[in-house]
Amino acid sequence: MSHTQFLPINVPEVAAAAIVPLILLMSFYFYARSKLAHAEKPVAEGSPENVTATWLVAVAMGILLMLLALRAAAAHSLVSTVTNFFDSSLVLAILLLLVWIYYRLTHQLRDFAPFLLPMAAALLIVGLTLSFTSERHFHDDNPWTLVHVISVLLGFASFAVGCVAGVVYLISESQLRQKNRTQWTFPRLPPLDRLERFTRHCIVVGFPLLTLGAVSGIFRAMEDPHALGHDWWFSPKVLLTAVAWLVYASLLHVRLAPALRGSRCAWMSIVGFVLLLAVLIAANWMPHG
Amino acid sequence: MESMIPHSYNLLMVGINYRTAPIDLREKFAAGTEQTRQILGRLRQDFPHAEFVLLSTCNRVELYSAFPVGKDLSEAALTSQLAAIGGVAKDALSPHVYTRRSAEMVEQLFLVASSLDSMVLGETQILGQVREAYQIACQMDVVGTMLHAVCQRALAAGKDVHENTRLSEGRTSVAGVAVELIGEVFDSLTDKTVLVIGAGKMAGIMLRRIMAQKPRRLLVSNRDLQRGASLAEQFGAERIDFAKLDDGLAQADVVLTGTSARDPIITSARLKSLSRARQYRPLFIIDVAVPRDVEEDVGKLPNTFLYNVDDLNRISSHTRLQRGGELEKSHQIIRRHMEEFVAWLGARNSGPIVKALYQQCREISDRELMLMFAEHPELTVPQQDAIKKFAHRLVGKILHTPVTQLGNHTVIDRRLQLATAVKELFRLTDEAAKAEHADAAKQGENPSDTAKHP
Repeated sequence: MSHTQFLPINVPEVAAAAIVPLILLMSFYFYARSKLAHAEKPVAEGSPENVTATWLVAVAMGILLMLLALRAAAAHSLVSTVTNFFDSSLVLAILLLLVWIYYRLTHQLRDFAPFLLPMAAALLIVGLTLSFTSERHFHDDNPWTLVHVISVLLGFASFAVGCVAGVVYLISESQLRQKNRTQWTFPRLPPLDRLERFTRHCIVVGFPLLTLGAVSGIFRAMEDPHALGHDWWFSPKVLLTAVAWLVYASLLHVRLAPALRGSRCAWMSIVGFVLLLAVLIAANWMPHG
Repeated sequence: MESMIPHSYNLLMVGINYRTAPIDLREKFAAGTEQTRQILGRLRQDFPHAEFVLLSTCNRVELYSAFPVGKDLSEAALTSQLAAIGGVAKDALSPHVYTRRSAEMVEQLFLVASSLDSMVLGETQILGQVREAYQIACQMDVVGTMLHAVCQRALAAGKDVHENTRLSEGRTSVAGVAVELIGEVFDSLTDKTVLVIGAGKMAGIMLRRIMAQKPRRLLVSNRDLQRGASLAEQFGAERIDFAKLDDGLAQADVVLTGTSARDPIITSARLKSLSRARQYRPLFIIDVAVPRDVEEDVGKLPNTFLYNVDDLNRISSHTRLQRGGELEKSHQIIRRHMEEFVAWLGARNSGPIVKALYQQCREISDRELMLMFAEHPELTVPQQDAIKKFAHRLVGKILHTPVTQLGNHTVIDRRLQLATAVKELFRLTDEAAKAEHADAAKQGENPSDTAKHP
């Protein structure tokens, strides 16, 4: 495998990437407004707010795809798009928007889909910030590196969607407890049990990817102990990953731990994802990534 | 608004309701028919000149009063009377009391009677409660001209709102709201178990809607075995012994309860002890019982959602009304009734003034004619008659325009201002007051035929 070179980020690219979170947040705002203004579902779907929101996401998606294509072309390698924080965050945001498109087209979780937009915006902001603090990228020839990075990226996207489902679950639950339905901020969210099932599905998809990412990471470290240092077992990155792995593993075994239903499942999906974000930040600051 | 009400009366209401006072305070004011009679009897004794109506429901206690000017009852005094009804200290009650005066008092009773001030918009029970309060006051002989008119118009307004808007329809969709809320928790009921505790009418109505969602299992548990059996048979449900209710609760995903038990039958501790048996599954509880069957703390347990009949009613009426614009329509009806009532008051006010004005002018005319005839004895009787006719016609012609203006002015406030001006310009005060009192004494002159003057 050839060395992949990190392509420095130029100002227009940063500006283009920075505008996307704003567009996504605006789109989410219009979705929320359309739901509030038109409590009746069929009206909300065709409302001007909803149409505006959809167009905004299309624009954001266009910018992201164009950026990624330009950077891949400049680096003469598609692999380069997953080997640094800036490009990875672009890929993550695109993955989340693809999930958004899929669920916008389905009936079951259509009202959940807009909540993916703030998450995509947040991931872009984190990716941009981290790419400013370091220009870290993977550039070894170890075949485990690519497996590690790709599986971690896909797993991360899956857990991000699960985290959003957890947040939506908690919003819906708190609205139900509030009882005054006329004052709900987000009327007509998917049923709680559907959201919980969906959270678990995301974890079912993300868990093997996380496991594969962790195992490939271990192999990579074992093959080249100098790359990560000798005490890598006790690094925050590894320990946090282990905790996140345990959190997600416990959620997969609802029969063994039935108490982890409902809001607890939602909270744990959020906690697991926050731990993975911490791993990302730890990886950024560790001397050997 | 103040000027709409005749100056000879002061209207004042003090009260507490579900918005201003907690339930434990309101409970102290719960007065049955007999107790209301006693209270009104005491008020009649203490304030023989005033009129009273006491409206006491589980959501409000309001003491309406009307008294002639000069026999005023202060707000503080009326609040003391209200405090005495509940047997609470006036200082403890005062922060929860609201006051309505004059036209605002009239409007308040209109809003109450039409359920626009109710916790459950569109409820019809309140109209019956206002009618009963008025009837008791009539029986106790503490209503007079003014409160007869106010109460009768309020009952008409309430009836009008209920009959001519879809305000009351919200109540029928309470079961629909319950099903919608269940849909916020469960994707489908086809793999869920529904447990019904009790076999009341309300539970039956709700159950019919829930059964349309085709739950996998339906369990019925009732203290009265026969009634439970009939409900179980009607919906093809499995019966569960009331003593084994825990088994049912462990299996249920949705619980619908509506027993007549005095104490809660589903407590937080009971459900907590069943958590493991329930595998921490979500539970949706609908409590249609009054007093409640389910402890309020149950709604705070994880994965447990509790809605009682008040919650459902509130959601049902608000959503429906906001969509249909029925609320605005209802308020328009109330405004129309207020205008008609005030117009009636205006007409009632201007009548004696017009009468006194004509009388005064004719007296002046007659006096002057007598003087003229004495000074001119040469005038023949036919000539005198002709002059008399002329004088009377002249008085009539001169007064015609102002009197018409007084009676037909479309703006009520302006009409009352004119009436006051006429009284002052012609110094009619005493005469008009006399005429007004004489007029009011005629029973049946106002909307009530049994009116008593204070």
